[in-house]
Amino acid sequence: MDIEIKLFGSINRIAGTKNFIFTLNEGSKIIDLINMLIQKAPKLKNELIDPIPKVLFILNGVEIKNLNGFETKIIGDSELILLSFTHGG
Amino acid sequence: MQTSTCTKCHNKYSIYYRPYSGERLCSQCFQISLKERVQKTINNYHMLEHKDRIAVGISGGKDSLTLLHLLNQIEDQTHGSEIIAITVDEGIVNYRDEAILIVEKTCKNLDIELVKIKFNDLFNLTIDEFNLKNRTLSICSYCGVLRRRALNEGAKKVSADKLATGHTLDDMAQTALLNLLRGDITKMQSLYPGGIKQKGFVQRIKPICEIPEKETTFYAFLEKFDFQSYQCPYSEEAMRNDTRTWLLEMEEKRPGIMFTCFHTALKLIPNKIDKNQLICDKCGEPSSSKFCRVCQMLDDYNKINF
Repeated sequence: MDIEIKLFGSINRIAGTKNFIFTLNEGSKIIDLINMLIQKAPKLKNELIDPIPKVLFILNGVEIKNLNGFETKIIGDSELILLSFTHGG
Repeated sequence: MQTSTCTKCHNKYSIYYRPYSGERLCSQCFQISLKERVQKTINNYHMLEHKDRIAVGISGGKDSLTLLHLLNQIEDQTHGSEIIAITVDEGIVNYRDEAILIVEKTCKNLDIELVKIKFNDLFNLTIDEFNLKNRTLSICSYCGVLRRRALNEGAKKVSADKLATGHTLDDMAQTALLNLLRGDITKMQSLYPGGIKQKGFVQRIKPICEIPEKETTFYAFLEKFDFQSYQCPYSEEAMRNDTRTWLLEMEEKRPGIMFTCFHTALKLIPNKIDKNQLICDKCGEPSSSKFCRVCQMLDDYNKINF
C-alpha cells in the first residue's frame, strides 16, 4: 500500500520537499513511517519526535491522537499531513 | 478508518482529541468550540465594547489568522464592531515577504482593510540590518520592543479603540514561566488578557489566550489557510524556545498544565498595577522613565555602531 505525506509550514523547508510517497507493508504503524521519514531526511527528527513532536499528524483527515497515536495502524492507501505548530504564529 | 463519535454532537465521527478535557470532536464542533471559547474569553475579561474599532495585529502565521477569522465571525454576529488588520514588516527577507502575501490574500478574502507598518519607515532600520551590526541584546529583544511600538503606531493611525493580538495559550504559559525564571514578577501584568488602559497606548487584548497552538493549527488546517513555510531566521536565539519545548513535554505527560501555568500566573499579577507614566524626553511617546525603551535601545545601538 502507498502513503502520500504532505508537509505544511516550516517543516517543508526543513525537509527540503513538500511531499513524500512511501510504499508500506500491511500492518505498518505511524511510528514505522516516522522512522522511514527520519532515515530519508534526518533533519526531521527534531520536528517529528525528538524530544517532542512539533507537528500535528493528520491521517486521512483525523489527528492521530484521536486514533491510537504513534501506534495507529495504517490501512490501505492513505494520506498523512504534517503541520508545523511551533513556528509561524 | 472508523473513529469514535463526537462527544459534543453525538452524531458525526470525531477527528480531534483534546487530552486536557477528554473531548473527541468532529470538524464542526471543533470549530464552534474555538469560537465559543474566544467569545467567553472576550466576555470574561471585558475585552470589547459595543461598536469598538478593533485593530488586529496579524503576522501571516496561523495564530493571528485564526484570531482574525474568529473575531470577524464573532463581531459580525454580535457587537457590530469594525475590524482593521495591521501587519508589521520588520524587514526580514523571505520570512516576512512570504507572510505579507498571505496577509494580503486573507484580508482580501475576508474584505478587511489592511494597514502595513514598516520598521524602515518608523526607525530607519530593518531587523536584517540590525542583525549585521554590533549589539548588546538578542535580536528578538530589539524586535519585540520595536514591534510593540509599530503595532501601537498602526492602531493609533486607524483610530482603533482596541488592539487584538494573536497570543495563544502556549505563548501565555511560556511568558509566565519566563517571567518566573527571570525573577520578574512585575512583568506578569502584561499577561492580563484584557489589557490595561494607558494614555498613549491603544488597549491591547488577547482573545485567543485560552487556545493552545495545536488547536489554532488544526483550525487553520480545517479552514484551509495558507501556511508560512519560512520560519523566522532569528527565532533560535530566544530562551523562549527552551521553555516551549519543556512546556510541550510537560503538557504531553500532564494534559492541562499550560492552562494551570497561565491561570496561576494571572493570580500572581500584583494588585497595584504599575501605571506610572511619563512622556519620553526624546520621542514624546508614553514611557515609564525619562526615555522610552525604544529610544534607549536605538541610542545604545547607535553608540556601539557609529
